[in-house]
Amino acid sequence: MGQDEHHRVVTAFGTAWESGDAGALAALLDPDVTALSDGGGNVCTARRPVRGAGRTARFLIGVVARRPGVEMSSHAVNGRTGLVLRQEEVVVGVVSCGVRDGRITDVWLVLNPEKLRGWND
Amino acid sequence: MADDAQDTWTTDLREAEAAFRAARPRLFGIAYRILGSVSEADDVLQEVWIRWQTYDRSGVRNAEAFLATTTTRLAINVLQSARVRRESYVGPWLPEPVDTSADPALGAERGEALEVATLMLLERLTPTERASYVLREAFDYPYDEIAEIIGHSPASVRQLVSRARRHLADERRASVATAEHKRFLTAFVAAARAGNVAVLEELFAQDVISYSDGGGAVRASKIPVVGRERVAKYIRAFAGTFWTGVSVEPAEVNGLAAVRLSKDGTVFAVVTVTVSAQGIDRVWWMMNPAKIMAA
Repeated sequence: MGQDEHHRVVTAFGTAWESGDAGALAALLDPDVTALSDGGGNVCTARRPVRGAGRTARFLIGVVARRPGVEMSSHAVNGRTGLVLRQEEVVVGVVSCGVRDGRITDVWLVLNPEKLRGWND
Repeated sequence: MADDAQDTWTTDLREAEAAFRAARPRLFGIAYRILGSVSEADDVLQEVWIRWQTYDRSGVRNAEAFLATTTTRLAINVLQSARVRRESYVGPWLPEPVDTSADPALGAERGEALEVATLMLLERLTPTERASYVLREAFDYPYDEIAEIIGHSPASVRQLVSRARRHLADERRASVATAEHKRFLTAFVAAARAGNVAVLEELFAQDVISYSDGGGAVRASKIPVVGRERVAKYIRAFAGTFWTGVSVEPAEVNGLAAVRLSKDGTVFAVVTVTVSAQGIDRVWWMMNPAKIMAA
């Protein structure tokens, strides 16, 4: 799969996520999507994988809802388009995605502040 | 110390620092790919710098090769102990993400072994396999050079790299195969429910076999039905009555995607298919109440 499709799908995913519309967000997720989040025990987040489009959409919207005023932007993460979540200029989350056939198949969500130090230097 | 000696020492240290600085992006790229962690990679680089500073550098002909070797060996050691910590981590352990807007390949010849998806797969390799794979695929090191770095024979390095490649390819294929299987299953259930013979025949392999397991307790065909046209017609024959008021939910049978069929809140069947290159080659209708309870 090319960088173009990856970029397009992840950007649309970020827009739908930020809008808070669970239906629109779920429509961009593969029915068998898996979301893994790393809070490192410091941040309250799902400690088990979240599976399925509906559950993942609700989970992701909850992540944003618990962080008032959070802003989302696309950014190069590990060589591909990912998403950066900022709250009052501080990076509070970095998201990488797996994409197949125009849908998000994997969401890797790093919320652990210790793993975001490099983003806040 | 005499002034001359002091000058030589200062110049020498300045050169050492320049060599380290020049190699730094590459060294970080190596350590990060082996460890999946920025903080651990930084620790490794700091240790490399300390060793380099205090090493008798007069005998080192190629500073970059020396630094890359030290970095790789230290990273392998750190990974060995990091693995234990990662296993007892609270919740899922994910690689520490890096900002690649300035350096898309993170100090490497190629952007290989950098994506989070790949780093997750690399976690399943042994530290030496992972290091060999990283040096070969991202940094284009020749096999004999990798062999020197990790202290194995070139032949065994070739093996390590090809094993790592195969492992990654298998994982990727398995995930594509799973998605493909689910598509077949979903299309099959829709066509079976609609009694659409044309679509069923399209999905089936020529020698498809439909098995029903009623365990003697429920009415089901005890004899397997064989062949594309016959299975399609067989399924259409009972489509009308069988599917009325049935709700379909996703399920899993022995790691294989399946659907659970229920009527009035009671599960009465679990259905799955297996898929070959020619299409669906087996259909399983599990209607044995004892087995459904277990699933």
